Amino acid sequence: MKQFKIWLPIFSTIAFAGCAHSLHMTHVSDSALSHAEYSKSKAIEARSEQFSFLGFTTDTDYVDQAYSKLAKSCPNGSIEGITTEYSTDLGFLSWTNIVNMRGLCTMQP
Amino acid sequence: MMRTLIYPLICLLVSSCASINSVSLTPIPPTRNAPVRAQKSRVIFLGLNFDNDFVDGVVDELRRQCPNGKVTGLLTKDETINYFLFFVYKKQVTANGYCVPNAPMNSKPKTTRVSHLDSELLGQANGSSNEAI
Repeated sequence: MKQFKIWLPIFSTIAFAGCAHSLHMTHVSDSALSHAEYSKSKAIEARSEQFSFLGFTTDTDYVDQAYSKLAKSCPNGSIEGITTEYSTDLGFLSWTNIVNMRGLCTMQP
Repeated sequence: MMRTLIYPLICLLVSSCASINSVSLTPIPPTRNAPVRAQKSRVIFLGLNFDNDFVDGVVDELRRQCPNGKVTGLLTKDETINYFLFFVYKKQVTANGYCVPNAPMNSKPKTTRVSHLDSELLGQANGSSNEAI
């Protein structure tokens, strides 16, 4: 019983910590950058979140917000090699959906 | 008491809950004058769904909106919208992107000049390969 009291908090900490963050999917787009273009390009990032309590969410507009943020951070160039991550941070009876987009901004000659 | 609870309960049952299944994004072009958008969905009752052909219409619709160009910068969202007690739900695929017009046909094509030395080397290479055969 004494050992159980010691191991229970340790086990529950590991168990709950393991579920705290969940990566659902990652997508990497193609990139046609040459070595010279790659070295000149600038890394950009856009992130958007949606808080959800008990799963009640009426839209998924936060994804579109991340997209427009990424496009605005490179207004006159092309964005290539985009990595899109969709993940969830879990909390007590609630969670936060996160979309993170990273890419390379290259200016056209 | 019952009357007080019935309205919030109806609101909860009728309201929809949207969730994302997957998101992907292709390279975004520098010219973003012509946005294109396509959305296809299917309402599914009790999970009875026999094919996923509704998704194929997305490509056709994008092609129709950009007949003489290339569609790029495509944000594709695959989402599920749950309705009444999760017995009824909608699968929805949305694609947003940009139509980039093709380069004009009268532009000078790129040519590669082959020098006299190159052609000699090419001939030698062909000869040696023939001998090997």
